[in-house]
Amino acid sequence: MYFTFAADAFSWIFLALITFMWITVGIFATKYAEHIDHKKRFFLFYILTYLMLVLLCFSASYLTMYLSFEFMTLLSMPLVLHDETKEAIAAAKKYLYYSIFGATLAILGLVFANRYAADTFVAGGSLVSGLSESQTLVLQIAIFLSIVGFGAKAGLFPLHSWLPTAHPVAPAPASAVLSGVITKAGVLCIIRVIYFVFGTEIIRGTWVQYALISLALLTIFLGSLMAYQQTLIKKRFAYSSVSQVSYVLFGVFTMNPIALTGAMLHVIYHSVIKDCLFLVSGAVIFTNHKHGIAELEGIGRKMPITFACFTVASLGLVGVPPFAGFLSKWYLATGSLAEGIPVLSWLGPAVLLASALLTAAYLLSISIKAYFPSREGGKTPADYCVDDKEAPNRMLFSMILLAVLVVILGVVAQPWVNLFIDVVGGLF
Amino acid sequence: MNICGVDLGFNFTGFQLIYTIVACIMWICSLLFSKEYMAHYENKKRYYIFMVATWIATVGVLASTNFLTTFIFFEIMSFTSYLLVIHEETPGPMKAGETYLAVAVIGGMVMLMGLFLLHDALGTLKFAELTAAKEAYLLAGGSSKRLFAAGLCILFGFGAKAGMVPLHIWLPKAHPIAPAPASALLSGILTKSGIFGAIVVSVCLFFENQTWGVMMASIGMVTMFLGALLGVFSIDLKRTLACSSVSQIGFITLGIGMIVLLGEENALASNGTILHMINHSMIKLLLFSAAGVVYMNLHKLNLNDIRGYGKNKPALLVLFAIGAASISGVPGTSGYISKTLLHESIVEYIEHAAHLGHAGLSNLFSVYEWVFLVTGGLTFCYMLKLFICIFIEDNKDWALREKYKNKYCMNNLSLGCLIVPAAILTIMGLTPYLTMNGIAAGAREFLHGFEAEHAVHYFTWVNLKGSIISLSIGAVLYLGLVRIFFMDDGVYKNLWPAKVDLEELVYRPLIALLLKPGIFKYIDGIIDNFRFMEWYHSHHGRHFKKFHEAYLYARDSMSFGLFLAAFGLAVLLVFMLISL
Amino acid sequence: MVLIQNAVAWSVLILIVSGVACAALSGKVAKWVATFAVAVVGVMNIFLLKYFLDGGEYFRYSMGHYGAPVGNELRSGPLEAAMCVVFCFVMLLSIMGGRKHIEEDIKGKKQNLYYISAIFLLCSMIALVNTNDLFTAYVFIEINTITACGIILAKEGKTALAASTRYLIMSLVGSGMFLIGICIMYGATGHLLMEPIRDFVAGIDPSSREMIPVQVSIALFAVGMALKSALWPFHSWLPEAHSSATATSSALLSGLVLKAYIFLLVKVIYRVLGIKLLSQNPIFDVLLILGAGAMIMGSVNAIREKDLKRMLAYSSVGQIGYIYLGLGMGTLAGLSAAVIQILAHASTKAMLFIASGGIMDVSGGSKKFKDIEGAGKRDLFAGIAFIVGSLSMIGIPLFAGFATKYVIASAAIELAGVREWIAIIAIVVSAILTTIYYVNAVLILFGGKDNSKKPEGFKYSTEYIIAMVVFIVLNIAIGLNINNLIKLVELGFSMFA
Repeated sequence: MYFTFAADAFSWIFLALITFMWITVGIFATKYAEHIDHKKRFFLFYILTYLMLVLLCFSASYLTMYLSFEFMTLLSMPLVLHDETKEAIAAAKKYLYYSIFGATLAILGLVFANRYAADTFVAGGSLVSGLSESQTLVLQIAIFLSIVGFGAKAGLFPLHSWLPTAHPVAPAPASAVLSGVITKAGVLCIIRVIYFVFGTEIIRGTWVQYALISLALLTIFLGSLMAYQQTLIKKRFAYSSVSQVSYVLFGVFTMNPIALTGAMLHVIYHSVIKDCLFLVSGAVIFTNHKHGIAELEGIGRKMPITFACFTVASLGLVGVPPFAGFLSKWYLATGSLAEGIPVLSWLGPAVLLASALLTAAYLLSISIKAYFPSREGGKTPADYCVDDKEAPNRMLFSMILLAVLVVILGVVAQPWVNLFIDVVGGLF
Repeated sequence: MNICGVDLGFNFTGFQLIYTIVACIMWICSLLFSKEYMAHYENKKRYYIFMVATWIATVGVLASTNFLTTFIFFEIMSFTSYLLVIHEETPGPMKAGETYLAVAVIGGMVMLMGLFLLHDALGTLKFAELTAAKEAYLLAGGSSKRLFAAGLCILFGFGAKAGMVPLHIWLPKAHPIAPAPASALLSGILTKSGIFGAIVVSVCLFFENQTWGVMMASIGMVTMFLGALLGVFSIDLKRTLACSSVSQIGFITLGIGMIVLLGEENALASNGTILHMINHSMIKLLLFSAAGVVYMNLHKLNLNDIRGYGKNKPALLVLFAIGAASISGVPGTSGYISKTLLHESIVEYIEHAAHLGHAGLSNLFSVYEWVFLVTGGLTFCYMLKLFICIFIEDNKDWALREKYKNKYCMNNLSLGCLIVPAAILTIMGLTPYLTMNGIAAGAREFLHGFEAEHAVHYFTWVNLKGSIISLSIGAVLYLGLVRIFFMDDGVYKNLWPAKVDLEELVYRPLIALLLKPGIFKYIDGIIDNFRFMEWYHSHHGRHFKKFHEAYLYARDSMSFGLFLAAFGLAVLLVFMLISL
Repeated sequence: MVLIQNAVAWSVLILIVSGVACAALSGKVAKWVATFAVAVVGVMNIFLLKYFLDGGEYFRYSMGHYGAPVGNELRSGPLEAAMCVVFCFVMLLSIMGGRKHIEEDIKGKKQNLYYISAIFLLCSMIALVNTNDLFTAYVFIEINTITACGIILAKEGKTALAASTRYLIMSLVGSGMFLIGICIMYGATGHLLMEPIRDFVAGIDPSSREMIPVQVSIALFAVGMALKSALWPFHSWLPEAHSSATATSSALLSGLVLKAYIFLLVKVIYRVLGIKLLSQNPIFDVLLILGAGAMIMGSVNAIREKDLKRMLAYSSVGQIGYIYLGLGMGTLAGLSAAVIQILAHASTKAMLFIASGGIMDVSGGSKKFKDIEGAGKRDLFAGIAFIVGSLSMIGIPLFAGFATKYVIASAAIELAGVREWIAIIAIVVSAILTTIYYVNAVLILFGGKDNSKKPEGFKYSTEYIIAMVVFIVLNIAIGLNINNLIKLVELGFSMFA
């Protein structure tokens, strides 16, 4: 049992993503912190969580990854807990229970990995051969449970419901990184487990893969549907995250180079987009103290830049070209169809598109309402949101940066695709 | 060129060049007309920006050479045109915009699914390679059902934009409510982008596929008839024109169906289709601009209000008449040419099918031929209705009558914008062999059309007969039906029951049903519900509380401890005895 | 014979002498004598352990040079030495950390009596660890029982009386079982020293009728020790005993007393029966199942508690279950895992109980959840120690508890069939249940607003600070050094038979 660290392509990619998002949201947070108590504590845990994520990126063995995973949970909990209201404490407890329950399931994988696989991560997996049938079954169950366990952090059903509870109570910058970046840590752990420890041979084409894909599809649909029902801004975004991260997991579970490329693309796209959306909600809360979606009617006039960023990000999430988000869907669907799993092959893209429709419904309706408030009863747009102001410049900077990135990533996508195809190719 | 990770491809020859030119003409005319029309509107900058954006996107669609390019620009076009529909921002446009956007986005997503399936089956989405890839796929044992499913999905998306039944619901609501120049574009060219896609799918993937061809023809039939029917009932000027668009799209869809069915003998069908497309674009530009002139001056569209407006305006009358005559298929207009070609293609197919022994199909298309003629009549009927209402009748209100005597209705720039399409239509109508045959020849390759074995004579008695039958039916319907039933003491009334609206009756309830959380809400909280402890503690009934206290007391007592120990020992003993 | 090998006998002797001396001394002096004696014994055992790590072989120490089968023997090896070191140091730290409470809870004149009990407790534990003779084991078991009773009883009050009576009754049943087991074993084999018994047992045909008395007596040993070490369902005396005892006593009871019995059981099984015959005795399946049950029921009961020390007591029940799960596996890996858990849990649980003492101090002497809110902020050492202990119990890597969980799980996946499933399910379920109540407790301790005022006249004592810090460091050290620990245990088992 040793702790080992090493760097490979995935480490660098995730590290780059995490660092960039942390800095961007951090800039936003320095302004947002004016409305928070205990600023130092907030930023302390903000930085500590980042350090743990760096550790996670550079982990080279299951044990090290597990260590970073647990500590990341522990250190990000105070971010959820920050406001110390009753709801915040309950939400932090729920976050901790779910995450640690997930980690407990993951320990099974750890134990089996050390028994049946190599000590450190090997691209393509390092499982010993010649396992008997009963051993294979037990190993498959252990792998399944470990993935579900790590999936708690990534919002995979059934361990997803901490996300919608934790997001509304955490301060907006914390929600942004929780949704945008920390969920990706869960994804990284799952990728490591499948592709670097056990290899795909043992689960490809078996009940494990079918079950995992079904869970991912269920989460995609469930997340979108529940998001549509919500009336609180941050809760809607939280459920949206649940749904979107499962897009990535869907690609990971399909175990096909094309699908995995799509998954990696979506990791980048979703982080950028989701953080932009949460920063918008943070700006709205900070400047105008509004939490509900109904209150946003007509606010586009008073916060034009903020909501322009919001609209750009939403279009990206729906998957409208030329914004970032279309291409990842394309690769995910193409990969799924190419893999040829019975039923799930075409059901996957269908669910993806149904979810895209719901995404359009729950995001674009906000945008439309914001810019074109109802004129029934003779009201004019000037009658809405009379006291509201545009967000402060520092916050605008972060949001504009992310929105511009959405456009750039969407248009100049081929270099990224090539990069990911190269990286992913080494795993198969 | 690689944008969005996709290799974009554009082609400016043949059909695509022709239609790009048409698009440019339409946009220029609309933009120039907007100068006067939009003079008193707010948010003019936004309007112009999105007009231009839609122009670029539409050209992107029309010139694309692979489906991904088409899709990208199609989506952009949907979103930019949304901003045009909702321009006035009052509740009416917002609701119509909602329907428009919903249909566009749903259509887009279904189309994307079709593209996924197609790409998976054929490996390529380039138009030029589709046919060969399809052959290879089927030869290698691919499932034709899969191909059909992919084709249907793609057709869904394009058909939604074109306005084919049953996805036409947004057209009669969205086109009228947009500013008139935008309506002209929506009706005239955006629908054609949908048709564009439908054409590509039909001719590249399903050429000579009987099932597909009959399906397209049937859709066309239903669409043309329903559209015309709605048009006859309508009493709003622009709504009538929008329903007319639906109907004309039906004609074009029929044409596509005939191209596919007739295979190598589809000269008439391919010519008819392209020509009708161009005709319709020009006609709608003209008619909507005219409607725009009316609205611009009166701010009203109800037939009762605008009655008699055109009495003293000869320019407007002539222009409107050109458009109306062309769309009705009066001999001597370009519309007559395209309608005749389509009619003849049906007739040809009836013979063709009988030849090949498909008696059923032959009979079916005989029925279709009659529907075609009746629809032509209905077209003439509602056009007559509009024309007579605006230009012949007198308004009931004497004050308005005086006001309408004013000669002036539009400035010279706008007049020029109306003259251009009228001129094009007239020239095409008067020189069919020169202009229209030429255009049709240029578009032939794209449509997988074949040259006619012998030249078509447009003005033979056989061809004229069809037109005259249509016109007569139309006149009879107008005099009989409209003047008697639809006018009540000289007031136009809308007899179509308001409740019979496909959107309200079927689509909205269906979607509301699908979006109910239902079981998913329970599934979502499934782990949260594992809270026995709370349930346990929440039972605070009086009896339970006493029982609970007693239980706690007993549980912590020593006798219970000894009891537990004894129980453990007993289990142990039994186990040992059994195994030793 | 190397000089250090005398440490075995000297440890016992020094402790007996100082214990007797405490009887004559006053409380203040007894305090220092006791602490000094424990420290000295601890240091001696460290040297002994070093001797083994440097390559020393195990040895037998015949009392008075009388050989077998007449004389009495102590036997020591790396494993025993490690055990002794841990016991001594945990006791030292517990006494230091809980000193204040000893002085407050126990009436002035009787303080030296407390130290007598503690010293004799340590003495009997060291003897149990090192003994090679069954009857000697019994003698020291009884001494252990009585002195443990003594340290519970020290804090006067009717609850303490009731609790220690309960403890005594159930414990004596256990001792009785052990005694009957000895009788049967003696009757069957004619020996009381463990090696001769082993040789005798090795000569019996495993499937013949002659094996049955041996199997039955082993079963009785196991049951007896299970009763005394609070294996579920024999655990009901533990929560009461904990909640009415002073902080040090709880630490010693949970951390050391229970473990000594289990270690004795491991020794008897391993040395007398041998690992090959282990899997054939059905008692181990029972122990496995009861261990699994303990893990789950202990945690379930802990979740329901609203009293800090009772919660920790039920947590102990759960952790003891882990040890019996390892035992019940019937493999060498399982036994090693059990021993590692013993070492880790001893230090962690003691730390938690001493911390709870500190928490009670700043909460007006109450241990109910509603009163201790925010106590972690008031007494920072206790708070941090409690966090470290909780993280260790939950199984966060870097801390001791994770290492033991990992080792037990690794041993579990080596099993076959149903037993593997039982073990794995028990581990997973109990881990999540453990998380629930520890997280709850930590959040309560650090929750609440504006109650970080310390009560009047509160100040830290140096001993308390030292004890807490060393406990925390010890826990993390075990967590980081698990490889070395595993090697040590393997070395120990290689010289244990």
